[in-house]
Amino acid sequence: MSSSAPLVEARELAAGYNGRAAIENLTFTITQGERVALLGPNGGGKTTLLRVLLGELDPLAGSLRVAARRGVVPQTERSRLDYPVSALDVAVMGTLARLPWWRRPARSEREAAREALEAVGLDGFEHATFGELSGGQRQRVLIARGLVQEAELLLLDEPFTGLDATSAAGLEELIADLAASGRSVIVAGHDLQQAHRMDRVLCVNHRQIAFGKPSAVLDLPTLEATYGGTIVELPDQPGRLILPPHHHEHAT
Amino acid sequence: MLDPFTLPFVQRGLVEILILSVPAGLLGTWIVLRELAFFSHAVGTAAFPGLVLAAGLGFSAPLGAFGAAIAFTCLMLALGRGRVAGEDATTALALVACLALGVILASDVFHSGSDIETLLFGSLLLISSQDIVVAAIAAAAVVTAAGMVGRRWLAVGFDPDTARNLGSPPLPLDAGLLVLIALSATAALSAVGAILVSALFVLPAATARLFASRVATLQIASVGLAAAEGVIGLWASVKTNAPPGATIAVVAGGGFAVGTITRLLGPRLRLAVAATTTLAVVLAIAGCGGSGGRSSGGPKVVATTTQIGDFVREVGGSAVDVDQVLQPNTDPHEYEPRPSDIENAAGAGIVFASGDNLDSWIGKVVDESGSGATVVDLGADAPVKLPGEASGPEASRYDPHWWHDPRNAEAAVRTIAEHLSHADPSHAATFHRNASRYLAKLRDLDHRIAACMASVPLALRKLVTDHDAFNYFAERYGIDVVGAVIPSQTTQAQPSAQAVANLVDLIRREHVKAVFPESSINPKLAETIANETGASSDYTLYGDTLGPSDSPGATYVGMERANAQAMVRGFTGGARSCFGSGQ
Repeated sequence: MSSSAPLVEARELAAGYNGRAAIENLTFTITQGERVALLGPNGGGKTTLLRVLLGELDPLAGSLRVAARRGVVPQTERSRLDYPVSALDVAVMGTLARLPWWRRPARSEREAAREALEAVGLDGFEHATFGELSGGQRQRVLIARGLVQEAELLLLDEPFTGLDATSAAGLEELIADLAASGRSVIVAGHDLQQAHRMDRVLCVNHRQIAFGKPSAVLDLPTLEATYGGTIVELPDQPGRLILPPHHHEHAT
Repeated sequence: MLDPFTLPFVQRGLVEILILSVPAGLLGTWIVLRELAFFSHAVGTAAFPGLVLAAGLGFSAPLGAFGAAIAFTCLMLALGRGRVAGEDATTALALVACLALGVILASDVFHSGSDIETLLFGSLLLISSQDIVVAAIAAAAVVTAAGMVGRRWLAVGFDPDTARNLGSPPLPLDAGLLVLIALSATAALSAVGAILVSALFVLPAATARLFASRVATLQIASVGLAAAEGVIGLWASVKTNAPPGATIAVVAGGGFAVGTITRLLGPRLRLAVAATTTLAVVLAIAGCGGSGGRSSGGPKVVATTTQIGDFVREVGGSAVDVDQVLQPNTDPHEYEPRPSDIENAAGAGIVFASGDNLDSWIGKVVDESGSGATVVDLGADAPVKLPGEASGPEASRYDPHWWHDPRNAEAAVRTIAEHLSHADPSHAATFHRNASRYLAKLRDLDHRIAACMASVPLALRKLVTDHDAFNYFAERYGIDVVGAVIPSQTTQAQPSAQAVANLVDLIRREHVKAVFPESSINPKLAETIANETGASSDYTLYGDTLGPSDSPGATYVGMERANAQAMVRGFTGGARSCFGSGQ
């Protein structure tokens, strides 16, 4: 696939539940190897957008074309942390998407899962119990599962929630590596500093507020329209913005 | 110590429990991980209407049970609208619907609960080849499915929202899991019954879950634990002569308790405590039992009911070994065989049965024991016969409570004397002498009751009892049976509100002075109706069973005297009595 052909192309896209749109008027494209920050308030339609991108919801209006294998990386708290599963067990789940339903994962599938764990920097952790890993490590296991799926488009749902600064930095580096290896990554979240370092930013609040390069999008009026509240500009760092605390879990 | 496993009926139970432990352990893993314990318990119980239908329409019980369990599962899925696991409220709704349907079918359509009790409890001692085949089918289905889609069940349980993206759509996977649980739970019904299905499907896996850190270990440990607890429970039940289903449940519950406690201890103490506890329990049980020992050298005889046991002891005296299956005050309509019953049947030369549906289970007990015993149906020889119920599987040509006419008891005693003499000619003279003496007593009893009853004006002789057990007595002594609280010859039916209302009207209209509860049945309903109508419920009757040894109804003669006495006092408001004031 050439890097210029978009993997995702949405035009006037609307999606929602029971015929009622939760998001509408979305027009954006994502090309191979791009990192896209998806910003928006809680309840503003980020999850709905991720679900329609995954194919779990059909568009209500407009068009959506996704020419990529998709893998979802949910928040780790959504998984059963009390389950008797190892990091390897979780990574192996990624192979189920490609196997016919009656086939159980075999040695080659386990090998692929082991390699994926290595690729996310978890070599030596394959036999660790998933629930006993740190939040950052669990997030990496779930990303490894997406790699095992051979996903070309990874959808990360607020992956930085609950991570300390070091883990967050490490995870951001991993996301950059994934993009460098040709995967497109959508990262839903609230962190404006991180969004600055992405390739594209998509601001959504029931409708598309803005889409484009961070430098073009991340300005005060756009963010105010996105979050509907006051945006605080850091006094000593002009141009750096921070969200009011109720929207935001890891202000820097 | 392993001698119980040499008995053929125990061996069949052993095979059954070992086969069942495979689906129980494998599914138990998912039941515990997916929090489906309530569902697995409910699905066995929900088989109830299927069992009633199968008995009523005459098709195979496992098919009826499985059909009802599937209907229950579908109803639950429909109520839950696609959301499956952990939906306790929808499980409860579907369960109530199935139970209500079962009760209505049993009470109002088929007028029967025949065999339901045994199916709700099951018995590992009465396992047929068909049961083993059904269990093997369930085991094969579960092993195949767990091997193919086990990882997908794990993915769905781990994070249902993501499972679809991982090629594991939750709805069909969960539906498949529930159907397999339904299949396996109904396959286990004949072994442990609906009430104790959890002992096999939930407890071993829940215990293994305390220690297992991987799904594979959890599955292997659950299967192993289910097998071990099943085998130990079966063995202990033979050793202690307790019903096997309940014993397995106790062992499994004990296993979970020991597991929970040892989990709190350090790893080194853990193993020691678990091993010591298990060893102590096993040795304690091994020390128990050692049945038998007494033997007269005469014919070995099994009697099903308490009154037949009494007849045989009167005729046989000390020259016969009598094993009586039912104990005083237990309802013959509700019976779960104990290991000793089958062992005794295996060694018996003659089995005296009451006949008809009252003790129809004895045929299965004799079959399973591999005994060559002659089964003598004493009811079949009764000279006085009254019609039985017209419809339902409890329907029989004759009312099975024949012994309440002493003339029928006389005929039974003669038959018993014949068979005992044939089996042991050397004691024939003793048997005939004993029989003659007892027959004289019975005739005397008959005359005295008739004379006493005749002293009560006919208009006062109006009988309302707990269930229709006294038609023979009433017919013999000119008593008008006005009605019964349970309008059936079985104790298993339940009266409808309309039936109770009609009975209350009838009692008022006919000026009935007493409602007679029965000693082996919960008197609550009889008492309620008595209170409602101002009738007395103070006079208890012995219906289907003799009373315990210290009661007036400990023997057949005592039972009929006590019944006559209670009726005469009830009819006359306590003004008159028959056999002195004492009884």
